[in-house]
Amino acid sequence: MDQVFAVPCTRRWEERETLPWLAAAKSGESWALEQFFNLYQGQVYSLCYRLLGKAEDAQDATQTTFIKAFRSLPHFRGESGIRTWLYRIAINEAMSLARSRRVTSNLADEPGPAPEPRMVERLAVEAALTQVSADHRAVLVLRFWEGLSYEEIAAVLQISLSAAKMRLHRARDEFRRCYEEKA
Amino acid sequence: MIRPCAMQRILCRYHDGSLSGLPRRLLEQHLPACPTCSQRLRELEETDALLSRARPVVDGLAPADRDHLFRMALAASNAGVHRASWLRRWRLAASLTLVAGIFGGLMAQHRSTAHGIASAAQGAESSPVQRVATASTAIPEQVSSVTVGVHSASEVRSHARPRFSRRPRRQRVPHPLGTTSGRDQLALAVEPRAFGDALDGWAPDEPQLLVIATRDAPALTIDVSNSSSDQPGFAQATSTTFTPFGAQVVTQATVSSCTPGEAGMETTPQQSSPPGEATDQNSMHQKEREKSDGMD
Repeated sequence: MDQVFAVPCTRRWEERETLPWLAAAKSGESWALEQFFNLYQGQVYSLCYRLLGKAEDAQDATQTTFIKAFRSLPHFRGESGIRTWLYRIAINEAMSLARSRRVTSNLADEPGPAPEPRMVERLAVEAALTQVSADHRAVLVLRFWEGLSYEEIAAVLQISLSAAKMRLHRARDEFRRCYEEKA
Repeated sequence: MIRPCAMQRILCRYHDGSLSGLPRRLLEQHLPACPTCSQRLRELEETDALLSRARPVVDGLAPADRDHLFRMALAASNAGVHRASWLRRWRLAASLTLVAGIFGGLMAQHRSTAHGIASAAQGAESSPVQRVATASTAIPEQVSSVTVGVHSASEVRSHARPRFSRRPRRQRVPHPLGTTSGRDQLALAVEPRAFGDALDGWAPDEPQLLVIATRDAPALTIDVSNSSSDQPGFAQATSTTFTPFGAQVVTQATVSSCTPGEAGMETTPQQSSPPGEATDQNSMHQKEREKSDGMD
């Protein structure tokens, strides 16, 4: 029986890609850093937004992510892909911010007419995700909203492949419990 | 009561695609006959589908926010990268000031300590880094080290909250620019490079430069922002003492000479006075120490 995964794997995870500006960025050239920023800011911001649920918090996390990335770039050895490395920093920043603040869903606060069934479901998912632990939220967001494979999740979170699968399995169960409680 | 099926142990491996060979074939034969396992597999697939459907579409950053964010990140990271050289230059300037101070002291004994700080800033003009604002203040006895760093607006707000624990939480500066130790006078210099173009539009809600003196005892904080003045580059230094019972603003020091290459304190006295009692600020901090001692 073939399995059907509804995971939006929309892009290739460009591991160990050749980036012409990387050497210049490592030596601190601002044009190269700007290119690096322009290339990844959208993905980092989206990840932070999905983890934190608020645009303001996502901006803070994005800013600190790039500050740390710019500082650490000279020491980047290329053992992992640059995007994996950047996601790792972003996850750490967003999770430390999430621990200090309560993660809330922005969508739930939106006023207006009664939402459509699709929107109701989305709000319920958002609300349930705010209830799960930060570690589990991170792994769910990476898998289902960022479309990362198990190997990529393991690389970003710096855990083994089997640990990544186990964490995702537990996260899925925790989310299911929270979702059913909300529903 | 439905008993859990033993095959459920391998069901999640089957679901994530890592089960192969004979176990996979056995499970596939088992699934149509076992309602528990079928139900569990359906739940897993439904959860995945539910999460995927709810994937929020995120509007990217506005171009203005993006540019601002890049400038701030670049400025803060440059400040960190050049921290060592900045400290070296600061120490060199301090050494030159000391030599100049001794020489000047021999020539004219009424030169004040505070004026020495101003000459340190002028000495730094010869260095490639131009200073746009300089504030000086005495460090209370209880404080052992001072860290200068960049904070985002929300971090500044969280620092401003009073604390009620008897031992104040250790202050963390996420993006430190430099550290000094000892109970010397602190000369704070704001470098244009640390903020880049963002300095022109520096609003109170923007990330700010924060100086934090750390120790378990009451600490000193100087928060420099451009406040609401119309003067370009105008900065205001606010000293805040964190006592074990909460935050208390004790004094404000206005920095007047903030144009590039110039520096100085508005409250700098010109008469000779022994170190530690040189400025109005020192006397304010003396009061502040007495106040905090009284509170303890």
